[in-house]
Amino acid sequence: MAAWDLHVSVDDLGPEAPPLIISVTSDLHIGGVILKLVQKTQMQQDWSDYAVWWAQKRVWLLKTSWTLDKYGVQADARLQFTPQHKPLRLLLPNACTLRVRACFSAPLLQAVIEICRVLNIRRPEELSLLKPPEEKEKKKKKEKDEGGEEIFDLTGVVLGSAAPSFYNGMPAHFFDTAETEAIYKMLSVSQPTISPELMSKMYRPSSLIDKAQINSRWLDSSRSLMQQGVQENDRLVLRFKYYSFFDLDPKYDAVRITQIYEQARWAILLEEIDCTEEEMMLFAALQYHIDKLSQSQSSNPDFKSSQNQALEDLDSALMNLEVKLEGTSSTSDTLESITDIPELKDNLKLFRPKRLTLKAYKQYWFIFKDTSISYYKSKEEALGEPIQQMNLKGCEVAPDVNLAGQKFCIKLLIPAPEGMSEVYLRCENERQYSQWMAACRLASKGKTMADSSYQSEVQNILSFLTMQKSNPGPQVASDENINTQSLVSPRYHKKYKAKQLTPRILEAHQNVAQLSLTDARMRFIQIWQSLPDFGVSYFVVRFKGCRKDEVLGIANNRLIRIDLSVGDVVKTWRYNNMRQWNVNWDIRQVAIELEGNVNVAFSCVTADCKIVHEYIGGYIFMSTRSKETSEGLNQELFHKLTGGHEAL
Amino acid sequence: MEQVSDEEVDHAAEEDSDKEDQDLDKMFGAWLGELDKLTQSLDDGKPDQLRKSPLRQETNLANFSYRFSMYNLNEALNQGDAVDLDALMADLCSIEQELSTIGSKPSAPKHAQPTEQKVRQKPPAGRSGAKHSSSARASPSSTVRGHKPMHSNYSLDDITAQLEQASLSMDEAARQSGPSLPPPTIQHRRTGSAGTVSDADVRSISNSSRSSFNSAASSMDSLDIDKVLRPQELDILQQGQPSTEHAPLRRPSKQTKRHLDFTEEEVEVDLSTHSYLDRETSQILKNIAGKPSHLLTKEEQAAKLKAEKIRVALEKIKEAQVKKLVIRVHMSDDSSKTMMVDERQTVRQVLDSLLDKSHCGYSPDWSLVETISELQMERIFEDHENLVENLVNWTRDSQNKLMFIERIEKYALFKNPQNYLLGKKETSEMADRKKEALLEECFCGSSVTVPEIEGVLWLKDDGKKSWKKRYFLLRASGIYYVPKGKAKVSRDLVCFLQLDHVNIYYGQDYRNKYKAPSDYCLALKHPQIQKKSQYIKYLCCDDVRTLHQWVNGIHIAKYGKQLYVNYQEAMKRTEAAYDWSSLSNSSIKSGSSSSSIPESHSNHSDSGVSDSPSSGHVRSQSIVSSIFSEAWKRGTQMEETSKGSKVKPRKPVLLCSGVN
Repeated sequence: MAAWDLHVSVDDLGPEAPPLIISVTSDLHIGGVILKLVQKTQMQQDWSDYAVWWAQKRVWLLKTSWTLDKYGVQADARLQFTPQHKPLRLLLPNACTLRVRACFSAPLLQAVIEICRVLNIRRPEELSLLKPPEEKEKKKKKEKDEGGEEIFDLTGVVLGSAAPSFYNGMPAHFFDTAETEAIYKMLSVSQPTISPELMSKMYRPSSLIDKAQINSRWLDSSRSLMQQGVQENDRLVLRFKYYSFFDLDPKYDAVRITQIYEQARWAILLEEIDCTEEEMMLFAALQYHIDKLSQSQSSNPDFKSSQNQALEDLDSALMNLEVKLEGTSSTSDTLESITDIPELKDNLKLFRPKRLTLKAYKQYWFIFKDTSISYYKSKEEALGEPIQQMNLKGCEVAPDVNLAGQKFCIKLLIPAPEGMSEVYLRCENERQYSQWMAACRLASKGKTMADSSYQSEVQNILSFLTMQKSNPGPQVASDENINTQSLVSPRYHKKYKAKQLTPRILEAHQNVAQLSLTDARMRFIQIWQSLPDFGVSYFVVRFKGCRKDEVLGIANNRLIRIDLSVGDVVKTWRYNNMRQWNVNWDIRQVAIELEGNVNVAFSCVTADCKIVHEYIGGYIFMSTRSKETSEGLNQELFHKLTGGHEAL
Repeated sequence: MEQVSDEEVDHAAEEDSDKEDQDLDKMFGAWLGELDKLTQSLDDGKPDQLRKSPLRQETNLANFSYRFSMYNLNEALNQGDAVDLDALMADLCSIEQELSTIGSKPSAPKHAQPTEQKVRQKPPAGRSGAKHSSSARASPSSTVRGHKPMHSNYSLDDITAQLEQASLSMDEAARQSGPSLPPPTIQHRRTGSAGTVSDADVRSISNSSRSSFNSAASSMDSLDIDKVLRPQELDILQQGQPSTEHAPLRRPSKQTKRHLDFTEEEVEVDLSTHSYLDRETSQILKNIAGKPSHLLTKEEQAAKLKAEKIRVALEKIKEAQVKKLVIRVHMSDDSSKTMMVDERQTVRQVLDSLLDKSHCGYSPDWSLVETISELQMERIFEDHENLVENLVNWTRDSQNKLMFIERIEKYALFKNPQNYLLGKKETSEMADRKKEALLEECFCGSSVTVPEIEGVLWLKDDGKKSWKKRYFLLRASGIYYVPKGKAKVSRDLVCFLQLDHVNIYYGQDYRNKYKAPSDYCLALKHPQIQKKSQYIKYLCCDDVRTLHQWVNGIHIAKYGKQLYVNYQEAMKRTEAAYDWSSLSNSSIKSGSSSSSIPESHSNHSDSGVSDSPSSGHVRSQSIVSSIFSEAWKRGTQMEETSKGSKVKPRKPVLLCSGVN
């Protein structure tokens, strides 16, 4: 067989170096080509990660036993001998950029699995990569990016095949250097919020079409990065693609939960998902709570202390035990101390709004005991019958505070058989207000001031008040304080002033103030998940036989046909009722057959139909997961469901 | 030789149980007397007085609720003779018993005594156990001697134990220990205890109220017994409670029990595992020596002691601040039952005990329904809710009623989820497998999916009998409406209500009361509001289907996964009820019932008094279950047909006839 010259460029010789020319025959297998190449370069190095890439045909020649003939390589082919793993700049859900080595030769799914393994994110099938937004936006940012943006580097980390070992809840490979530890912290601790000005400059989708555009950027899971034109050091976005988060477990999923939370937060702040005002306030309150807790955690010099929580728990358990043991010997003492419930006594002003009356606040002597407030004409008469006693259990408590006007009121809505009675208590100063407010809040939940949460509640209220104070001032607010405006989406910056927002967030905050950091994140995710529009990915499509574009929403359990102009749901198809779906790759049309002989077909306008097909198949794959087979991921099935005939 | 001694033992056992039953008698008498006294004192106190200073009552919540509950009882007594005092007693006992178990001082079984004595004959085991020495504070020697106030520490246990055992009838003990005990012993106990009339009555009462395997549980029957019984017991009370020689004897055994740390299975344990007790025997033997003479001289003292014990027990209950309510539960057939609930009981637990007592078939549809007649609204309590917490919201002069009734809509959501979860306008059929998948999808994910319900509803204007149309939407965070002139986008929605603080009620006949546009109304209010108020929101739907969709949707948004858990729990019980050849074994204590013993029936049927009715009862079981399944079928059919089907006029089936 005749020998001919094969041109192969080798990365390590430099970009300018001419391709190596090796003499081959058509029946030489790829392994032989590689051997010849390595010999020719005369370089001593580890070539194990290298493989042959055929640029014109966009294909990796990975099967070393295949011959050149079988691959169809002829003399005009220009091959490239290049590493399969290359660095990539990943924009994480928390808006940080991380350099990480990714596999450019395996299907994207495999690459994502590897990345997630490095990042310690379980369930990698839920994530995928997409291309960053269009160039023109990027250009604007470019100067900023080069200078300011901090890039974390994890390219040095190479994992063995063994399962990652953990130390103090942190995967061992993050322990190598201080930098990697910092990266783990970045991954697992929520990022501080950005200023509202910056936020309002960020891209926000304003219509369904905008939202549909985002989905056109997803990369294909069944093809490799290289095949999809991704170059070394390119920027890609790592996101949770399939909104069915399986088996979230705070014990193993520190990074995963943090990143889901971050993605949820950004989705809400950037108005990718709509919510009501009340929901926004709750999200803001949770963010505030989470930020505060993460700050106190990170300001702690010993970062690992958070991981030592178990030990602390043990300590407190031992303390409790001690108390209990002592308690049995002298029951009466402890009983007394338990029954000794702290009281609040003070002069406050009271106001009961009634129709058509403009009564002013009137001063009384108030005693707060247990969960009830009693008031008397004066301190001297406190021994007698109170004018009235109000039990706050089950009542609604709302702040009515105006710092500029030095107005510290507590609005109480106390349920009674006759209805709710509205009462305002006016306090003199912040100190007094925070104590009484905290007591009211606890009492509304049936707790007394003896409850351990009382002091922290007082502190919470105080810190919120100071936050409010520092905001309006033009001077630089200390960065420990969180700007309330950065907790809500730009729409609400415009709608409300900070001092209007603060009390509302504070009001929502009282319901979540007792949550731990993990619980708060989980709560945030849960509320996000229960939004009606949660987890719907939009595509502009054209249904067969229709003349105008419509929107197809793909969620984890259903397909939604949406009217493009109005945004109304026209029809919902659940996967449960779906017999089969397929793609006609020639006319690029997705056809779906539903129970009851319903057939739907559409072509995709904003995205490739492969993306739509993969989305549907992906969700069906997600629903096949079960806890028993949690260990291994059935990649074959995933590709079968998402790949389409094209990939097979 | 051994045989002889065994016979002796048996004899002793027989005697014991005999005495014990007399003893029980008196205990009951004392308790009832106590109750009567309380009600009398309340009679004197008059309701008016109670109402006079509302302030005061609110200051002491525990006290208030206690008095309140007694007032209810009083009212119940006045209303007629349909008061089920014996059932009440049983409830009281069970509550007491629970209380004592919680206090980590296990109560002692009375009928452990014979065994104790039997065991005593045996040589003590060599090992006297580290466990024993650790319980030094409960040293038998000291407790046996002194009948002094210092015993009040234990008196609660004693009382609860006695009451518990009194009501937990002997045949149950026999049943539990059946396999490990030779039948003759049971016979001994049984026959030996059939002493006086009241004795038998006591037992039958305890049977009827406590354990459902006795069929004499319908309110009517027990009422009759009650009538017979009460005068006698009051007599006993007035006589100053001639005491029994037995009370002090019980002490040592109590110590043993406490030490052993058993509550429920004691009987089984001490009958089957003697070795456990052996290490105690020596002690007990010592303490018992020379007892009888000592006791006889102190008859009266013992009586006083007993009275004291009861008093202390009552005080302890108050101390523990466990609120209890005597409640009156109305049936669909206008009859009613009076029972006692304590503040920790969930609706499920109360339902279970009601089901045990009323023998109406175990359908998950049985519900406790709160009707607020003044506002013409009602709601089904959810199974996980705390009953007392809800009932204390009622005002003292409240006309509210608690109904025990079968309601199809209670779990309609889970029987036909496709009609509620998919947001479709029309009802449809669905395969069971798919229903399950749908429920799984909705309730078992990381967050509960609130069905997307939206549409035009009528909203009543505050203080006016006029209704306005509004477009409402349900979200997990509450109910919203679309303000005029705005589009239906999330950001523009106005929050109508958040669901944390409100409960949802069905409105009744608002067409007349408020000129509602249809009969399908719902109301949302804070549970404490009991009178007309601007804080009650009224909504009206155009059809019954919409109404049910909204109500169920709001339930899901408010309670989330808990609803599904409730349903599964209810279904588990239903299945269990099906499985059993006889319903009679259904839980004696709600929730804690476990194994059903097939031969138990033959065991307890030879328990004398309740013999014939219980077998008759069994025969009727199959009928019940068939009725039940019929009802189930009908239920699913009727579900959507009309609102009228909501109140299903099905009487609790009276199963037995032969007791009196």
